[in-house]
Amino acid sequence: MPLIYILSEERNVSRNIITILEKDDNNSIKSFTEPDEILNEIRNKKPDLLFVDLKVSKGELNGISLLDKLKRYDYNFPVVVVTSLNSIEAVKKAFQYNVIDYISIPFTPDEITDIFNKAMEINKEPTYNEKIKDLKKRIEFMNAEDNKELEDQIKSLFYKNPSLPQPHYLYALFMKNKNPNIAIKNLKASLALDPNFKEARIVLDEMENNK
Amino acid sequence: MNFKNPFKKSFYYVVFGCGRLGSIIANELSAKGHSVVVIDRDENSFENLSFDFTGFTLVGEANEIEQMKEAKIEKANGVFVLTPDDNTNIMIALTVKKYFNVDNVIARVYNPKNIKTFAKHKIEIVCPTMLASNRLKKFISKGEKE
Repeated sequence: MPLIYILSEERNVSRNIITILEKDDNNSIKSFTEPDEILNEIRNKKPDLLFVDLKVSKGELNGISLLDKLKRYDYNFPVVVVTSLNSIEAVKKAFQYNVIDYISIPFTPDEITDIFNKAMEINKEPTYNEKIKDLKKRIEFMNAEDNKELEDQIKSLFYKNPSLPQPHYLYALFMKNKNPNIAIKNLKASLALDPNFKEARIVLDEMENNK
Repeated sequence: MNFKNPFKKSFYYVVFGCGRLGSIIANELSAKGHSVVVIDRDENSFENLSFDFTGFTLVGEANEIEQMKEAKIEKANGVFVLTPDDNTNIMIALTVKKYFNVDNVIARVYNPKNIKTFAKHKIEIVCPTMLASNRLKKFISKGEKE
């Protein structure tokens, strides 16, 4: 039974999403008005999909700082942000936190069900971190035959998550021996996206010292 | 799991004008579990909506293209054009039908003389004057028979 959480101060936002998604009796939906409240709930039980209205600002956290906390705690369920049309800057910011999509108010039932279906598909896939871990292992033990397939898989991570540092890091590991310059470039790109990305920093320092 | 059951589906409606009639229709659509957007130039008109109304409201000139885009009118399953002015209604209904390709449009017409204009563009209408006069004519006929 998919569990869905909604964070919004606007009664019509949460009520609309509930009305649309409750039409499938299998769904269990809970709505919240405060980020702190929803964070406690997530600690108890992770949802299969979370809607975050970026306008929320009750309590100590707001929409963006909640996303930041979720990222830092490494929660990996699909998150969708809800926003008004004139908040494009806020949406851009939200995409730094690995949200899968956004919807602007007013939204249609089809937009919500499409997003729900997309989230359920994502839940079926291995998580982002699992994929990274797996690719990293395969790069370590790669041989000439699966070079091309590995490269394609790393590239597909780029397309899906252009603003995340890990694909650059993986590509750097992949190119480390073949083309050190490209590897260094990618490690720098990875660190530009996340200056606290320790693994990338270690490899970069190592490569620059060996130059 | 996909939401493909047509009997359970919510639809998306846009209502232009939140006066007495517009608010009744918007409340009804919302009560039936559909998603509704109501557009009116006067923010105070939204007070006509019931407490249970869960749709969205937009303040602005109903006949502006930008406003219609913001309401995602191209995705509407149906549009109700219920402002108090026939000329505004014909303009909105035409734009919705021709520019945004929404087929399911119904407009209110006050003046029966304007009905032809709407009919020419195949816009469905409801004319309160005609509805009332037809009812009153029936009342006259009934009196004559007695």
